[in-house]
Amino acid sequence: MKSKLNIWFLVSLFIAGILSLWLYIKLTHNVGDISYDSAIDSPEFKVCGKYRALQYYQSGTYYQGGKKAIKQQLWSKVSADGLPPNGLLTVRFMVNCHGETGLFRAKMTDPDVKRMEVPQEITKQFGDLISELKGWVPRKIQGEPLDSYIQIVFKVENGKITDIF
Amino acid sequence: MKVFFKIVKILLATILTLYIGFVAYILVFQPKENRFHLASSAQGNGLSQAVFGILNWQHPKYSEAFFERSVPFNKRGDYATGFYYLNHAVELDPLEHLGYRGYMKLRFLRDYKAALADFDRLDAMTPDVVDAPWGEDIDFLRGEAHYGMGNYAEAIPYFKRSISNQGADWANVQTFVYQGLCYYHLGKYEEAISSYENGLAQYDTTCEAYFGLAQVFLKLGDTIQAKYNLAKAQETIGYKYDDIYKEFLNEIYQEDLDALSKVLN
Repeated sequence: MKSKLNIWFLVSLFIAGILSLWLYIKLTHNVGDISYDSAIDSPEFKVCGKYRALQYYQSGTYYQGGKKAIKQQLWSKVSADGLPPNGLLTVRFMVNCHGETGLFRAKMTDPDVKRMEVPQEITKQFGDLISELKGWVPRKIQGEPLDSYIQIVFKVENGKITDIF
Repeated sequence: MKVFFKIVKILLATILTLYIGFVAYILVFQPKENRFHLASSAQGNGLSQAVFGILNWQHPKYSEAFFERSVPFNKRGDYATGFYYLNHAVELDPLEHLGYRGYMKLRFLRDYKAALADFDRLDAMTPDVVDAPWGEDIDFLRGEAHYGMGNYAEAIPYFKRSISNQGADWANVQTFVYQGLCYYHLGKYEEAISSYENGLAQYDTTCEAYFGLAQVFLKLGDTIQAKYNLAKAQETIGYKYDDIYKEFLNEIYQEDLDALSKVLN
């Protein structure tokens, strides 16, 4: 009887512990989260907002002149060299509470929206170009500027970048 | 003392077992609709995705769970994962999800041909119904897709049909703006003016229509009318057509007004 009670207690403790740990991991992870990676991210870029980073559609952080200004500033500098001839390259990154950019991550899909690998140097190349955009205005909540996730999509057709949005 | 420890163990084991049972009920055993709402309300969270994963495994024909699972991935730029789930939802229930997928291909991927293919397929499935993918008139969206490809002549009949089906008072006012833009690009300036004016008859705060008129009058050499309409666009820029997710193809900015103002002055 005593050993059955011990087994019940220990098994329930073990399962509850594992379950709680699993719930904690799931609850603290969100689709699209980007964590600092010392191998690829600049150590100078700091996440600085008082609150957790919000998505671009939640935060209201914007670029002066909107997407059109981003497109105009990037248009002459971007190149599809090293990219597959057709698809979408999406660069997701963070704009911190000072309006600085960092934590660049790139994903690419083919015309059937299937994943394609993006070489690390492409992520760096596009990250460097996006770093040159200096018109970010972080949204504030109760006077506190926010960190935000932002993304820019580059459309590649026949080996050329044909749209930025 | 031994009895005390035994009671404590029984109590703790009971609480832990109830906790495990409660979590299992919430995640695995309660009705699928309740779990769908739970997961939807925490869109993008890891636990929400886990609940959708359980629903997809337990109910492989439940298309809504695949559709909803796709949403945060597509909003957050992981289109490969998002469309993997969305395509599965379309396979299970095309009537329900084709329109949304077409809308996403149009607005999020700017893959105009693929968007049109989805809209046309949906339309063919519902010959007696004017479809409204994600709440917008299907012909307006088809016109927008043709506009995106630069097929202005092909876009115009869709915008006309949208106005006809919805009624001039109920059509999306941007239908008139897009129609005006198409005529403008085709060099049909009188038709462009008429389209913009029809839009303004519906909403006299449509800054895109004033801006379009200013561009047309500039082309026609009527700088007085161009300046007047640019001033009206400036007055109404606060009502501009925009969206928190994506830039519209016909979106205008203060910088556009400033640039035209420089040309006119």
